[in-house]
Amino acid sequence: MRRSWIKQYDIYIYLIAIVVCLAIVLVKILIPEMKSIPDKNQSIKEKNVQLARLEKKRSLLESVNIDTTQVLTLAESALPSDKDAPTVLSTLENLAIQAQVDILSINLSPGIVSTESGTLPASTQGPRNATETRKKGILALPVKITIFSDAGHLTDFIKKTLTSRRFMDIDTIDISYVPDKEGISASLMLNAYYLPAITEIGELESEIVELTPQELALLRSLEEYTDMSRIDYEADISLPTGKQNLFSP
Amino acid sequence: MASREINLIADKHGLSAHAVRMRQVFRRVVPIVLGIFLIASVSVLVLSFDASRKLNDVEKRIVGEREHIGSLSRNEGTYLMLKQKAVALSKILAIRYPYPELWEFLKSLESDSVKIERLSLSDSGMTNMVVKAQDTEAIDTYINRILEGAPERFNFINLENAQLQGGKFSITLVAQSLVAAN
Repeated sequence: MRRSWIKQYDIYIYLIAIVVCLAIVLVKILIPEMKSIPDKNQSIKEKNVQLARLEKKRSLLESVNIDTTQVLTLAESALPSDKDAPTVLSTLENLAIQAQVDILSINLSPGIVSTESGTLPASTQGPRNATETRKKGILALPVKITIFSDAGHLTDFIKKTLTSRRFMDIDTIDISYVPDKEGISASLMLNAYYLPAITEIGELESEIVELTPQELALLRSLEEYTDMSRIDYEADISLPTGKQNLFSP
Repeated sequence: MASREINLIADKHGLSAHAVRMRQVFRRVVPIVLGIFLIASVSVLVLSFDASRKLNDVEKRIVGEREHIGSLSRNEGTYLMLKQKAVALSKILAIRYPYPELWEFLKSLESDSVKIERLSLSDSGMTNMVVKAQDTEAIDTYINRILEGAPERFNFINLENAQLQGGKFSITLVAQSLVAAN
């Protein structure tokens, strides 16, 4: 009796079992997988964009070579990382020699010249950055120089100052005619620019703003600016040789 | 007429006609449905597996690039410094006050009878000058010559003061240049 009942309805039991299995596979496996495919594709798109950015940054960094380092050395001589007062003084001295003007006085107050590791403890510090000046948003060391010359050499001095490799700008020029000496006394208020080096770089994935062609051209053109901080003087020493022949009169 | 044997009693061990038909339908339809389901399942799983594989590949490449960039930190510092200096130099050069040209222009207007006694130039554009002259005609000529060159160089020229002292005339002029550095 029972066997005949099962035999009559076994087809329905198989059908229900198959449907239940298919439903479980559908709900537990297939539907979640189907839902995850668009998310994965979206993630792939985003990560491809991220990868392209990283590849671009890497190729940019790999392009840094000896030439880049040389350009940086040039830029450093134009815009040093610290006030570099000695270079300013030697530059002005050499400019005066080249332009044939007489320096009457030079006045500058560099202030703090040590690195940050050398700063005093906070309790003993006086007023900070008393001499820190910014011009056009860039740090500058103010220098006052007074010279004596004639009009032509003064013009030459001004031009050479504005074309020296150590970048300087002129704030004011005060010119007075000195009748006794038939010349001109000029006081120039200069700003010798400097730019502290960066001490931190961004995160690995931070974008780097590339140098524009104009900026690259400007950096390479620094070679044409005369480095007045050092001048090679040819040795012009005539030493007495004395008698070649001890017995000659 | 010979009689024929019939069995009117139902066979309890055999299948009904409906059950036989159901079995026939089952044998035809279920394999097709299962086949379609299998193909669909495999397609979905293949697509999902492919997407996972691509995602893993991209993530591996990203990790590799990050490591590579990390090893180039010195180059990054060099490049950033170069960019920093280039931007600053561009700013400095963007407006440079034309001191040499202005000084040469004012000097060129001097003559035997007119001399600059004091001159003050600043990159804000203000020019103050005291000029000494032998006579009023010389001063007049000097001012006219400045005015001739004024449109190219100055926004305005102001004659602040004029005096006669010790037999010599002196005038104070204030001018605002067209170009200012800041």
